[in-house]
Parts: sequence; structure tokens; C-alpha cells
Amino acid sequence: MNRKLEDKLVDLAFGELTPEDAVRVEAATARDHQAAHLLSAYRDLKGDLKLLADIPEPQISTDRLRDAILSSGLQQAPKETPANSRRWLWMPAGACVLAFAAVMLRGQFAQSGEPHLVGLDSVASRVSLPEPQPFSAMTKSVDRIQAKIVATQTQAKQEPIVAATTRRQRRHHVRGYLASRMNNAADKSPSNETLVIKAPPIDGGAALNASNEYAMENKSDKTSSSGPIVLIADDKDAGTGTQLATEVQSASNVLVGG
Amino acid sequence: MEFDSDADLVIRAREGDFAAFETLFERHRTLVYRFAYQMTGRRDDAEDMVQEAFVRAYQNLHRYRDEAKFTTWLLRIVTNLCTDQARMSHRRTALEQQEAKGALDWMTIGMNDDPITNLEEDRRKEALRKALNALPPHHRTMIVLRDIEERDYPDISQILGCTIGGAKLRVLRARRALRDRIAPLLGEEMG
Repeated sequence: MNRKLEDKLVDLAFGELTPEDAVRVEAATARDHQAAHLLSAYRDLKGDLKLLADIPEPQISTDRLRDAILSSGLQQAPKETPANSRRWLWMPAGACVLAFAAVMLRGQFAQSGEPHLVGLDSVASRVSLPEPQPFSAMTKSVDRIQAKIVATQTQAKQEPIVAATTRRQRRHHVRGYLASRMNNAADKSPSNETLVIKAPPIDGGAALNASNEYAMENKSDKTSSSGPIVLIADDKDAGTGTQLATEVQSASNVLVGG
Repeated sequence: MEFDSDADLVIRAREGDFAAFETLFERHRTLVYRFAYQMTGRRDDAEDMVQEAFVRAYQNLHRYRDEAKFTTWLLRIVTNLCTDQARMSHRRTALEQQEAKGALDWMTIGMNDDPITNLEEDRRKEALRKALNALPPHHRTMIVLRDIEERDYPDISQILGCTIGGAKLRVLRARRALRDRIAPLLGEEMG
């Protein structure tokens, strides 16, 4: 007998077939002796199971139940409130907020406490350097200024200087500063005083030749007692390719010639 | 006298009204006991099961949802308890069968004057009780819920947390398993 027919017989015996299906299965059973025997066995089983429905009455009382509940440490049922039901959500939510705050503050501490490289853009924004002149204007300035060395001079209004941390930044910083200084010089402000000194090529300690190699435009004699002077040489640094620059505290020992 | 629904009693019980919970207990303890007795076969075990089921119900009143009937939720608790208990005490099957034999005596005495009929009924009941107790818990649960307590399939599916089709299939398999077990006891030929 196949499994499907046996399942139909079980459903028929327990009264779980539709009337149409019941008629069809009954007809098939009538022709099959084995199926008929099985159907009879399942019908007896159904009847016997109903006999098991009679059982002895329970003797458990409410006092026994109350004692059992109290012995379990329960006084009353917990109240169902929206806050209670969602209370557990605060812990992971609070942990997320703390973690987020820690990440954000860590970034701020990193910015304020640790030394970091200053990019050119940030330098420019802090220093407020003027826009570099176009090349044509710069060449005109260079024509007027015969020497290449720019002497720094203290001014009433010092421009803030931000330390550059790489050679490229230092080079750009110097060029930018030079451009700003040349621009100021072009303004011809009486208060702007510049001293341009061309440094001799470095050849292992040769003394400065004051005869014909140097020219100085001295618009004021304040330079002799002025601040530090930066000497920019024609020679370039072998390592970086930039022009060599040296700083001297005063011009008193710098020989210049006409 | 105003009749409070199970849902109303549950709400009051949650708020601390133990009398409301006692009302629920009085109302449904027989249902739970009947199921527990069919699963364990012993009155003492069944009463312990009822007590434990209602204690758990009281502990978890806040989890009861109105979508299902309170009796359905209660039967789910006791079904799980019976399954756990059967898993732990499978070695007591022989003792339970003896107890079931003793329990059947008072049922048959005086019910029928014909001793032969009584003997035959006793024999069948004894065989059926043995076969039922020998079934695995998941099969026994289906037989008790559907064929002894006569609960409908939507109710059974909610108690067990399955679909109605799944419940029907489980019942079918349980009936076949029970038939396979009882046939040798009755000396019947297997189909």
C-alpha cells in the first residue's frame, strides 16, 4: 500500500477529510482488503483515545499555587510600561554616543596637540600673504633690483611667520615672502626699507671681493644697525636644488662694493 | 456577576492584583492538568507540572500578548515543561507504565457489568497508555492536543509555533507512530 493512500485512510478514520474526498477513499477501500483493515484499525485507535480522556481530578489548590509563587521570590508581576520595555535600549545607545564622542574628540586632540605638517594652503590662509604677482610684474621688479639678496629688516608691523617643516615648504615660503617683499618695495612706501645684497659664490672660504662684484642699493642707513640679514647665493644646494641661503645677524661684517 | 475576560484579568494581575491571577488559575487549571496528566501519566507529576506552569505564567505575564488566547499561551508553557521533563526522566517510563496500570483500575471498576468487556477495555487502554508513554514527546504532544483534548488545528499551530499545515502533518505522523507501537501490543497485524 502506498503512503499517500495510508495518509488518506488516517484522515478518513479521524474525520478530517472533506465529504467528497471521504466518498472517494471509501470507494477505493472497498476494493482493497488491506486498506479496509488499516482503516478499521485507525478507527479503533480513535475510539480508544477518547477513553483516555477520563482522568482523576486534580487536588492542587490556590493556596499551594500562592505558596509556590512566593517561594520563587515573586511578590507581584512586573508592570509592563513602555519605559521598562525599552530600558535596555539605553545602554547600547549610550555606548554608541560615548564611542562617537571619543572618536570626534580624539580627532580634535590630534589636531591641537601634536605637531603636524602645515600645508601650503593653510600657511597662506594664516599668514595672509598677498596674491603673487604675475610673472611680467615680477620681472620688472627684478630689473629694478640688481642684487638678489634681500635683507630682512624689522618693520613696525611684522608679518607672522609660520615654520615650514619640509624643504619644499621652506622654498615656497621663501619665494612667497620674497614676492611679498618685492611687492611692498614696488609701493615705494617711505617706511618700506629693503636692502638687497648679492652674495658671492661660495668657493671654499674665499673672502668677499669688494671691488666689483657687489652692488648695494641702500635706501637708508638703518641696515647697519638692522636685524638679521639673509644672504641668498647663486649656487644651489646639491641635495635639494634650491639656492643656498644663510642668515647673518647684522650687515656690519658684510663687505659690499660698487 | 460580571465576567472578566482573560485579557482583563491578565492586565489586573500585571498591576499586582493577585486575586485576578488566582481567578485565571481557577478557570484554567483543569485544562492544564489534563494535558499534563496525559503527558506524564501520573497525577502527582501532573499537579507539579500545573504548579510550575502557572508560576512561569506569573513570572512572564509581561510577555503575554493579546493576539493569542490566554489558554493557548498557557498550553505552550506546559508543553515546553512536559518536553523538558520527559527529556530528563525518560528512565521512569517503566515506572510510569506501572502507575498507569494502577490508575486504570479505578476507571474500569463498576463501569461495566460484563467482566469480559471490562477486561478487553482494560487491555486496550493499558496497551494504549503504554504506547502513548513510549512515544517521543513531540509525537505524544500532538496526540494529546488533537485526539484527546480535541483542540483545533489553528490553536495547535499557535501553541507549537508552526503553520496549520505543519500541525496537520505532525498529527498525521504522530498517529502513524502510535499505530505502529500499539499494534504489537494488541497482537494486530501491521498494515
